[in-house]
Amino acid sequence: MPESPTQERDAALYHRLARPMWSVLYSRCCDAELALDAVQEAFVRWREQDASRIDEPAAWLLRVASNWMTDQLRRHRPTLPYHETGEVARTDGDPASVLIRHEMQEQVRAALSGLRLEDREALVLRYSLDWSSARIAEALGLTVQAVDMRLSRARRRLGDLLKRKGVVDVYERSAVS
Amino acid sequence: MSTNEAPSPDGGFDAADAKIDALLREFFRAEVPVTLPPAPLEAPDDWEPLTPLEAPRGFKGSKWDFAAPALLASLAVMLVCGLMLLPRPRQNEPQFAGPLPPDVHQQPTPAVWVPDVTGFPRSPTFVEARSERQKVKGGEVDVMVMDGDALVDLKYYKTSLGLVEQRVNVEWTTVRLWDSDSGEWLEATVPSVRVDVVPLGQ
Repeated sequence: MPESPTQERDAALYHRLARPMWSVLYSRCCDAELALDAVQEAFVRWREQDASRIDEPAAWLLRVASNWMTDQLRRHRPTLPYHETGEVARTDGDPASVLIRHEMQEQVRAALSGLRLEDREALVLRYSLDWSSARIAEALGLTVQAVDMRLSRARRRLGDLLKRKGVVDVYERSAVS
Repeated sequence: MSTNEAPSPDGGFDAADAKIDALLREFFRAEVPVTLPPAPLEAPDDWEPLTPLEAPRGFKGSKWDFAAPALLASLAVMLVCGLMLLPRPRQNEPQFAGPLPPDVHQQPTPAVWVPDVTGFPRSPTFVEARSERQKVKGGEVDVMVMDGDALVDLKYYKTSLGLVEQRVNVEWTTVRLWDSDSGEWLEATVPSVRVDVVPLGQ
């Protein structure tokens, strides 16, 4: 069944914006599941709107998603981390290594949340979208040097936090094995 | 650049950063939900408004940012004070309820005294003075030879105030008179009556 023009437009919009929106939201909350829910909630509301009256869809969608996420955080929404929603069941590897990886993910997530927001934002855009410094600079309205400085500062700070907890060593051993 | 291609290392990228870099790539590979579409090759044209969570760049807070809450707080205090000063109906204020009913002005009812004579001594009792007549110049005068008092009447009354005892006593008083004609003192004993009313209670 062929899709209507509206459906095609919404699908293209989702394909273009969903992941950048998730990255921006994740940099705020460090909760993959909550950020994903916020993105999907925003697109659900988008379909209920008269899109012709919205001049800047990206801004509208992110604002709706951000407000919804903030509201959820204020309500202390209990969330199950995305990586714990069944990964063990669908993993064929050693359960012990899965648990170790879970623990590492949790440690990195906690260290990320300890970074400054501007540094974390640049870091998340870099590693979740695989964007270069130039593209991040373009997106955030910064110079490339400023983005590099934020990335370097974020990695150094994150490295200190993770080495202190021994996460880097565990990661190296698991990578070698 | 494809999404599978690692971005070019940024400035200041060293060996320590390489470890963290590899760790972060592994972390986000597992962290990004698989249901999301791949990252777009280009940043969205309308990306700039995608950062409303922070204050707009170049935004400088107005001086009214501080003054507005203070002004609102002052207005709230003034409003509360004004409401407290508004006239309100007073409570516990005496109100005229009309003239008193006539029965309020009735005279007090006097106590009802019911004689309850005990019979001792019998009433009335006559007490004679024991005296003797002494001849004096120009006549005879009764002279009291003995002073004292005697209870001549005793009555009890049942009243609205309780039992009341009424005692009637006769007292004899000796009076000495100087008779200048005879050059002698004359003594006379005269009676007086004293009535005592003693409430005895219920």
